[in-house]
Amino acid sequence: MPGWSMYSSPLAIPFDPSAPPRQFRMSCPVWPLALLSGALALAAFGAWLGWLDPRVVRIVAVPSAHGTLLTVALASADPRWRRHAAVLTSLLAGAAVAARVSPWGALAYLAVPLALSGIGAREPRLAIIGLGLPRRWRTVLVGVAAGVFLGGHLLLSASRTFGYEVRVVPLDRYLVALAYDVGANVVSAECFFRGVLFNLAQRRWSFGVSAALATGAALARYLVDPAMPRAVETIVGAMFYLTLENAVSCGLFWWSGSLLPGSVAGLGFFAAYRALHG
Amino acid sequence: MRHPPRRLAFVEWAALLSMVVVATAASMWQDAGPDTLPRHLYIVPTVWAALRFGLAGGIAMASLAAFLDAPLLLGAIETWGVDRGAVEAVVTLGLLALVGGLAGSLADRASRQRERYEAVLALQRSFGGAVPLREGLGLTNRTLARLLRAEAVEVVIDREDGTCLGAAGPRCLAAGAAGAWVAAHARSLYLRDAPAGTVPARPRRVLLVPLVAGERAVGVLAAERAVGFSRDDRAALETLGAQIALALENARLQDQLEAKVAAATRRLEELNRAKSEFVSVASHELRTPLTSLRGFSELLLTRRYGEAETRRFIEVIHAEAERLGRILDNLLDLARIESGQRNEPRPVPVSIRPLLEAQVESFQAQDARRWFRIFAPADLPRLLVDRDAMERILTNLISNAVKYSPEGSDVRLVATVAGGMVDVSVEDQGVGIPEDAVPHVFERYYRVPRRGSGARGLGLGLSLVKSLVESNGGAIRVESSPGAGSRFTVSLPGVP
Repeated sequence: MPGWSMYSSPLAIPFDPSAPPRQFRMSCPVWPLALLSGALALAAFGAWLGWLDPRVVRIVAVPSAHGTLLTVALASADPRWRRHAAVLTSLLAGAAVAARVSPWGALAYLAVPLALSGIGAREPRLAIIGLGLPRRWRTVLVGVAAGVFLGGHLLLSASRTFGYEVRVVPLDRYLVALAYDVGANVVSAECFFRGVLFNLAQRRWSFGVSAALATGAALARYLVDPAMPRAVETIVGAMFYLTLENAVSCGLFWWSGSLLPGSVAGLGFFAAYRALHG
Repeated sequence: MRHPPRRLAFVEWAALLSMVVVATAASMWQDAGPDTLPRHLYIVPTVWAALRFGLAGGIAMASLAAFLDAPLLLGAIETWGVDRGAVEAVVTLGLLALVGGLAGSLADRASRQRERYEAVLALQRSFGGAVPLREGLGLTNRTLARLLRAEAVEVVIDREDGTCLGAAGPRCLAAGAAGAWVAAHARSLYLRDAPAGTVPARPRRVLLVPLVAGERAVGVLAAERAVGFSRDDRAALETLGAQIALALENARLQDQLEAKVAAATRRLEELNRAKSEFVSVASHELRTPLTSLRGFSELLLTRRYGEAETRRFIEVIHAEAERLGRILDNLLDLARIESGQRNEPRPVPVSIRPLLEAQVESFQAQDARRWFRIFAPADLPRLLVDRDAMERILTNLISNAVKYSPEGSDVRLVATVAGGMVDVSVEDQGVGIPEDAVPHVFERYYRVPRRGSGARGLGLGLSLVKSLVESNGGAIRVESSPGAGSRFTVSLPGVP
């Protein structure tokens, strides 16, 4: 419990009326973010002109989008964020390329959460955005249960009412999608929407307001995702489940102080989502 | 929210779940359309759960209904699109969540009101009885932590003597700390994001409330809770703070009153003891000259003596009568002072040297075994005092010096000028006064304890001297060295 012994008594907390205490601020480093979005814009422009294959844009989009979310999260918590952000963005880029080369190359995405875990273990400061172990392991079990419940409910609804087929074959495509969720989709969403946005909001407002803000931002991110299906009924269903999944993740983050339980819940849900074919 | 016993809660939850399942089954039976009437049945278990289990219960039951209904509703949207019925169904589920949340919030609020009432009662019990303050603080901390569901509650009392008291013992508020700021400004402080919480990723919410009694903060109440404090919570804690301050103030006043009563009782006991002793001494002091008077007068009446012998007997009778007169004068003065009928002094210009010489002549005539010496400059200004009072002051001081100094020693009368005042000192080379007795020598009935000394007195002389000096606008002080003698100095106003 870092720092607990310093001001364990609430009466002894240092206070300066001219500078109210604030333990966490969001940091948006301009140059790295400009570099990442510039790369994506250039690739898109090149593809639009016909100079680049559209698959290149998709490859560039992965490190650009998810790298941006991870960079903001790290920069908000750790003064030595540059090296870590560069490593993670490079790993994302490498994994995106590897996944295009071979379906089994998608396993390279697994390096991202492993690297992030290593960084979190070395940098205690990152505990402020939840990059640490939870206080109670039963929160992870609750995360697993929540993910399984949401995923199971999604499978039931989709298969019984929408007529979607549930299968995990072809296995290679399923593994590629799942590896992307593990290494990029869930990790970056948890780091940014829970570790930064929700974290920042909860230090000013109540849990309900903060969870609504973070969930709304996460929904907006999925709505602008070009990979999202465009059918209205699918969007309604997706919003329903993503709202619940994000709200649950906010609750788990608040309860455990860690991103792990929410990530587990998200993975459980996306594992079910990736099994739908229709 | 006060929860029912576990067994009862389980039965209730089972009944609630059954109702939701039945409502869902009824919707399914109605061909799973978006506008099924049975969907409205969800309101019953939702409101029931909200009233019994608060906000969490209401939201949980509404969420469960939405989960069970979602496959039906989403299927209907897939089949018929987003039509009027689908919108109505979505609105119904939304309203269900709203009603569950509102009913749960109201139930929670009512529950919190009851808990606050219980907290106030608990506080009154903590400070109202015979429980010592520190134990009362510990009890308060535990009670408030339980009722507020706070992770930590701490109360520190700032006592009038500059020390502090908390449940964990004396610990004052450090300068620059939030507690010190609240105590200094007598204002509440809510820290939404205080440093050094137990979970870095979660803000540390701390509310500090001053315990204000009158216009002064007598302490600070601090509470820490992970879920934070709503506006209502803060208002409630401020009310509790006022209750605690009131209880503390009452306890403090009671302590103060008890201390004053105890001191007054002690003082009365001392006075009673001193008066008893005074009566005993006074009887003895009156009896001694009376015995002499009776004895010598009987001798003169019953026998015949020569002229020289007769004269000596008459002189003894005269001296004892004088002594008796002085004792009675002192007693009368004492009676006047105690009844508040002291004579007003009539200050007149008085030359001090002739007064000193007259006193020395009188004492030297009675006592040839001590040397009386006067040290007074010729240009000494005159005093502006009551002449009779001045004579009695000198008589008392010189007779004291005689009483407590050995034969063959000097008694010195010194007069000097100090500013607009004239200092008149009476010094002896007697037994002196013990250091611990010096502050008490001017108290009424006080007699310096002297082992082996034959000198006796009523303990009134110096008290009367002080009273006379002060009534003439002067002051008296004493310096003494045990075994070497004492010096009593009277400062009185000179003629301007």
